[in-house]
Amino acid sequence: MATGCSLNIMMKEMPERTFDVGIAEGHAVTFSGGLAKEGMIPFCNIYSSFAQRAFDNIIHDVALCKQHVVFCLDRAGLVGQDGATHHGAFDLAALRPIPNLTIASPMDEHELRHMMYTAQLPGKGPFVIRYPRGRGVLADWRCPFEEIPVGKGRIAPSCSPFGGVSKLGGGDIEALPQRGSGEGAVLIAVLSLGPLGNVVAKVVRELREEGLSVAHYDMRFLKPIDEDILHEVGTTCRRIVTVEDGVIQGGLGSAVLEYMADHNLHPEVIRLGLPDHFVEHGTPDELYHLVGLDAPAIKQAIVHSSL
Amino acid sequence: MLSDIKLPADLRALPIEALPQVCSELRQEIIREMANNPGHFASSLGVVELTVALHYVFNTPHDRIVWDVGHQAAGHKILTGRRDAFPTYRHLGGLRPFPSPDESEYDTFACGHASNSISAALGMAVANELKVKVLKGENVKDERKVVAVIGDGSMSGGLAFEGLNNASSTPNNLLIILNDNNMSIDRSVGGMKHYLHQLHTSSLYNKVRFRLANGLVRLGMLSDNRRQKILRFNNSLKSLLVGQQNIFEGLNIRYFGPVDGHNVIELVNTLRQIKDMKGPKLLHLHTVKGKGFKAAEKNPTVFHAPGKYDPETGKRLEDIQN
Repeated sequence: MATGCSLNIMMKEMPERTFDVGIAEGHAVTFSGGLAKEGMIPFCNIYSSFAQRAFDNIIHDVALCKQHVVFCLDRAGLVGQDGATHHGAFDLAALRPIPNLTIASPMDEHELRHMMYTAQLPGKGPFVIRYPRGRGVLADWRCPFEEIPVGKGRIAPSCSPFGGVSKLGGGDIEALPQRGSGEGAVLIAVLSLGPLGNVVAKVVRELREEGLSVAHYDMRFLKPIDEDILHEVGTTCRRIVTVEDGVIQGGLGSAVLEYMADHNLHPEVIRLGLPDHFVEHGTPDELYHLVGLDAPAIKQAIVHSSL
Repeated sequence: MLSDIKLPADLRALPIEALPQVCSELRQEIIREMANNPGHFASSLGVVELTVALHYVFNTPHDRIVWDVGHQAAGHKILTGRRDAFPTYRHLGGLRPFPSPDESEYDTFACGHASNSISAALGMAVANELKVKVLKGENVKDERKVVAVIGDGSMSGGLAFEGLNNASSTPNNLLIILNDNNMSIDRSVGGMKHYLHQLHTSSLYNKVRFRLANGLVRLGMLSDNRRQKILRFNNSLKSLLVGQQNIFEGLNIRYFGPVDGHNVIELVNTLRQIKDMKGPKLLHLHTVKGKGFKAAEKNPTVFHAPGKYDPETGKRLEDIQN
């Protein structure tokens, strides 16, 4: 099974450090736990949908004792023509309640590299990185490694409505003005997790050109979630739109709602994600259109009943 | 004697003749303690000799013992520095119900759910192989032995087979101990149970082959490398003789046994003979769940977790109240 995840390349370079365990997802996880026990930092690479078979292994053999295993869950989100059995729809919602886990989803190849680099730094514990099938979005995936602060999101790139630098760091946006502070106040914040952030970025650019005040955050981490961002948008924005390529129950949208409820904040929250039924086969473009996660649908959801 | 064993190192300082006495005292201690402080009882009695033999032969905690499920680990806890704390077993803030790396360095891996021991121990064994390779043998003193202890009840779990399958294809020196009492909580069911029973019938062959091979190695006539090569031929020969394939040897895991799991001297001797052998291997033990406590031997399902009972008569409080 090395070829599907492109581990055949690594197998050639480092034959002694690459283990093909066959079709045995539970074993892959528990075996990784054993390696970690002896001080190794295994990267355990499984298709997201197949990792469902290893759910208990992740809890019992890795998370419980904080074994430093990095899970690289391939084919997260809708995979396309392999259909209902193969969509990586449940990983975010299924893994979020498990203590000790860090759960990350990169927006693009550079982020993926930074996350993989970050995940193997000392003391990081069990670390899940889930990423989609297919090709990346960047012209050149190469970049120097950078450590990403765990649990910190970012202003999505090239999405500054105002210019300037955010107190949230890293971006090129002013701190959001207070609600109702007049002209230029950000009314809508879109929080995305994973590769759909690229679609959101495009939509947000269009909306800004149309004069709408929209902020866009790439959350990067589902767990721990960036509460600074949630606090800021919860106290500043009238509407929050969450966008993720996992099931709508239990993922990013749910986490945002929980935060708002727990902190007595009452923005309007619109959640976009995969529906509560099994999505069949088709090309990814067709399917994301079908489930209302393509650019027009996301745009529609952001501006619908616009403030 | 038990009171002198603070840690397994104290146990290892004893002569082998003392071990039956240690086992007897350990068994009585478990019976006495668990009479008033209910827990997983019968499983722990079944592995008293194995527990003592493992800590006697292996250099724990440097060597790793990975218990499967872990409800059989009462004796293990008592021998590894937790005897005084044992009355707190399973109580809030007290000793945990299963082995836990957060509790003791002698507890190597998360325990509680069945069938994970082979996979976890294989990970440790492979990691150690890797370290030896990376260090190019300069630090061989540090080589760890890794032992997985799995019951026949857990052997029916798919994860155990995934582990076995992988053990045969990745370089490692893992020792798997199959604690076969024909029970899980209830009696074991399914094809594996029948299969393990049939394996017993070929025990004479296994004994002869094991002794022959050991003799040849001692005489310098058989290197470990050559033995590996002979193994495949041997497997075919054996299949021919007994009219069946040994599933473990079919997976290139060397099979030893079955051995009486309640004869601690024989266990120690067998473990000493096989522990330094290269490659993955499995030792098949025959044990009795609830061994040494008549009521539990007679009714191992009830005594899996019997609640409170009279340590003399074996009467359960629950039965008396009814």
